[in-house]
Amino acid sequence: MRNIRSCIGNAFATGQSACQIDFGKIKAIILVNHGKTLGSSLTKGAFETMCHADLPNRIYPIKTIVEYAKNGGEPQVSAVGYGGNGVTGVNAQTDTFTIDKYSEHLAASITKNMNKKFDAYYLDENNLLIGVNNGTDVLGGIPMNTVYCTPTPHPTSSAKATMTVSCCLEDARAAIEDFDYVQLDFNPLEELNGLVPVDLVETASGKYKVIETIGGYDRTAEFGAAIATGASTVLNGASAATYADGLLTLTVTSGATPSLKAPSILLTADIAGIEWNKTVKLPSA
Amino acid sequence: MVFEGVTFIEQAIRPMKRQDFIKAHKDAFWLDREPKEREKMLSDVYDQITGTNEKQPKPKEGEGGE
Repeated sequence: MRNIRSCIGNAFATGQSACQIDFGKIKAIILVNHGKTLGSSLTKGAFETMCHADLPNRIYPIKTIVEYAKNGGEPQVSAVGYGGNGVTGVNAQTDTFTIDKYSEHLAASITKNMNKKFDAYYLDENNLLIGVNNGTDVLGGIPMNTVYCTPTPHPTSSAKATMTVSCCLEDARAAIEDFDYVQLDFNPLEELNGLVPVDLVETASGKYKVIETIGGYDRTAEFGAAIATGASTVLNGASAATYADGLLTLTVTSGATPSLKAPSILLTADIAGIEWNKTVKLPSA
Repeated sequence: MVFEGVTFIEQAIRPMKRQDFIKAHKDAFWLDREPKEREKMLSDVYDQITGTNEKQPKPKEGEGGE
């Protein structure tokens, strides 16, 4: 018997959900590495763990969104000769989100990764997590060709410094056709915090500070005690640690350079929101 | 282990020799105390981490510590 085909266009339905959703304003974007998902265990605390997860399973939240603008994603029609218009497809779509405050860290990081493919979830004010149905039981992210930002780093006469983040959909038509969402029973916004790169900087022999890589903000008072207490878990290359008066005192094992372990390990010691970037030691005498 | 406010990382200290351990740490912690006292405290820490203690026979003269 010859191969037969069925008409994929005949699965047409115009009904609506018995419980219509009122879609709220988007509050956050969650980027994941292309092909990764948020998984099925979307419980309280899970988002903070995923923000600190080892690569490639880490998620990258961007918040707080205060404005949304859709560009593209419209059906395109054209006529052949004197025939009527016919649809030719859906044009490319870019979703542009305005962040509540300009962030030099966010701008630098997004710009460095403009050529990387991410999948994006949108979180609205009603704790609705929006993505796509990828054919599994797990909500997929919307595939993005690129994510870029447009910063205005300095205030103007009429507006404060601001920035937008633009998500360029890989396939606008598929994003409409596969649109799906999950209703969360809690607000994950507070635990959606991206990581900030920090340096361990030696200020005097054996005395270290935890400093943000960009801008040099001193975070030692915030994390010093936890790092010293959890030293055996969170430090590489050190044999002892203590914290006092805004300084971490570290003794270093022979030939080693002290460093902080991965964010996933730091989180177990209640050190959240930072990722070690480099250690700056005093020049040898 | 935590001793007098200092966290010692046992897995980093176990491979060290006693004298190396004391030398590496005696000028870093408890600087408000006399050097001899600091050495004694560090020696106690080393004993606790490596499992050696006073009850074990001391090495004969000339054999030195670990």
